[in-house]
Amino acid sequence: MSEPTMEIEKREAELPAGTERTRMTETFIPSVDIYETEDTVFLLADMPGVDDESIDITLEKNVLTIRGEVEAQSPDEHEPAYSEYRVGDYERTFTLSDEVDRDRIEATMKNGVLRLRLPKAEEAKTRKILVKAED
Amino acid sequence: MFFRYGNRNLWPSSTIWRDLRRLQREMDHLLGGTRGPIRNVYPAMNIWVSDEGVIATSEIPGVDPDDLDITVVGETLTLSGTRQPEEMAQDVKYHRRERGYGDFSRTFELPFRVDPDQVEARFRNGVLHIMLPRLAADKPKKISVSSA
Repeated sequence: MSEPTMEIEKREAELPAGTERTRMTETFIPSVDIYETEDTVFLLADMPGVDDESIDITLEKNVLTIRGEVEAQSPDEHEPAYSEYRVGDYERTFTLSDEVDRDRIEATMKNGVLRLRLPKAEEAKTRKILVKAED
Repeated sequence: MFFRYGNRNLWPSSTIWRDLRRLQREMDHLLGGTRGPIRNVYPAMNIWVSDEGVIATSEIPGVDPDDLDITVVGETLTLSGTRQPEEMAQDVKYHRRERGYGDFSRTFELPFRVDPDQVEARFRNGVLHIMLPRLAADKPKKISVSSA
């Protein structure tokens, strides 16, 4: 796997046809890392400007949605001179392939990064089935 | 990478930059994409200017404030730092890896000299704000005309 490079461009989130957002802001797709150990799935998402109050995480069946609201703030009495990025909300939805133990999900926000710990449910953990050879 | 902006009116709206970048990407794509994605321009920055000073902001999530270095020399602002890779156990399986890490550095030429002693920076929720007040000696002076 090639090393990811730090991207300057934020990707805009797409909406299903015919739907509109209620908030008058742009919505971006946060960059994520997803990795898995034997018993846990970890998800890290870059959501600068989001804190533990403005983050919203839902898990419905196996659909995980992360949402973060960001209030755009322009400095008072200053004119924008140069702009490389836009400020807006974040939203991204994932389908989890493993059964997750809902009661033990942990989420933390630090320096604009969401860290989600999704422990796999007992029955979803890989079970090794021994095959006995018959003589 | 240097950006000179003498005349603020040259940038009537921020969307122009977005459109230009998109155009550039499309052109690169048409011409065979030899340039590839724009690299070494992390992190993205926004800059606001008034007669009193400059405010520079940047989104750098996951960077420890201790790993950030802001220097001001004359009219030049440099922001550099490191985004540390995630520490983890050996036996992990990656499904997605979109977040980059490593060293970064940006340099901007400011429209006027700023007072290095008055520069303030705030880092909250992965968003950096740098306040750069204009050097007092450099501020425009209003000259009153007396009718003698």
